[in-house]
Amino acid sequence: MRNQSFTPRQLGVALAAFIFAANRFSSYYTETLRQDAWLSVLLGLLFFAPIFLLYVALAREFPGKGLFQINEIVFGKGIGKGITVLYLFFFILINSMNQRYVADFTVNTILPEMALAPLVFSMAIVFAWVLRCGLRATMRIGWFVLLFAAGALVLSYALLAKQMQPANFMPAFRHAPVRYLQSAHTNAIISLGDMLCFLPLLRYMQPGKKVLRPVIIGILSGAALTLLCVCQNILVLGVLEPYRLYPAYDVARLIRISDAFSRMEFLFTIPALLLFTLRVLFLFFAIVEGMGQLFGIEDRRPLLLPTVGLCAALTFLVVSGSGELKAFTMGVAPFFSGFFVLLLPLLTLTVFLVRRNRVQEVIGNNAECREEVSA
Amino acid sequence: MTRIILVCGFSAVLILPSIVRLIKRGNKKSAVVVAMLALFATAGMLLYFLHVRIPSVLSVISAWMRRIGLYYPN
Repeated sequence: MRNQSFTPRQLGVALAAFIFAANRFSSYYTETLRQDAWLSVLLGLLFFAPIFLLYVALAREFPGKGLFQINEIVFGKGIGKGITVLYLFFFILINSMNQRYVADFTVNTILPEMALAPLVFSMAIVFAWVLRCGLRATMRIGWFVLLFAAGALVLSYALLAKQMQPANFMPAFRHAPVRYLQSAHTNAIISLGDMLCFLPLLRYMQPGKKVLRPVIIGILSGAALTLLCVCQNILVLGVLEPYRLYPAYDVARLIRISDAFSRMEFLFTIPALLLFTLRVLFLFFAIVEGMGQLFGIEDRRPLLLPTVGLCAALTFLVVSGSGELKAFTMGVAPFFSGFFVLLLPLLTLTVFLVRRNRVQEVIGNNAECREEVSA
Repeated sequence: MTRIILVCGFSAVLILPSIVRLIKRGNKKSAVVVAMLALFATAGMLLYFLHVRIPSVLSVISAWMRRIGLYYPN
């Protein structure tokens, strides 16, 4: 992926779209806390703050390096490659799960007559085509996708104003404290923690610019849009909301301007599909980056097509059905993903702090070698 | 048999040009990696299209995590 640099602002926008996409085809926000689901978004953000600081610390210590390069510097080549394999497994798994979410949603709602396989392979062709356009191009369309999705959400708020009932938020704060903790943990790890896939791509970010501010604004914007969406679902659907497979889609189906415009669910489906495509694409970039690092291939382009094919094939083998996917996301994923999202980066930072002098020597030697080669 | 031919043909049409181009450029290492990934992808597709009954990855992980007690009960 040569000449693929992007700006911190583009990264912020991509993060906002990535986070907003997380809850589009799932109802895990409302499963645990029901009418208090809005609180789970805020608590999730609070829980995620230390994890985010951990990522910031890693990125600060290794400017211009991606997660996979950092692993090899800190742990050495052998163990570093082993940890890269673990991350690759995780990214491929969540990529396949995300693709399955989109495919299941499409087959269950938009194209009920369609078989899953042709749909997944059609999606794979689209992904491969966009991936060939490169990371920079994908980052650039982030603005368009985010604004389109946010505009559609605001419009749906306006069109559904009459059907919203603030009483649906009541009774508030009635759940056991452990439920709030569970909800915050799930949201922090699943919807926000998946942004770990941006860490390998940081090596393509333009150097010498302030990064933290646009990134924080991006994360907060994504969380704010998610909060708006969750509140809309509760306001419109009320007690029925937790029992819906796709609450946001069901809300959009209730929009009715007149008899002529009674099918307005495209206000949900088109932005949601675009957001999810963007989410899957960033995961693909992280996977290709990891493959390239693992096998020592500098030009990542030949890896794109087989990676897309592999993930498309795994979409069927990773998940057997929507029910299993939902049960995994709600019950097991917060702990399983926690290992990759929190523990592995924490281990990397701890080992770096312990071996700081040795690691800095390695970085210095590498820089000298590079200068000699360029001279 | 038709399914096997279709899947293998689909993979070959998609991947072979890349591999040939890489070998022509002298980038044999990349060609091997690409071929290996393509092989995995083809094997995955074959498993699905031939309806081979294997447990899904998520069910295996779920069972393992539940055994060690790391899950939220529904």
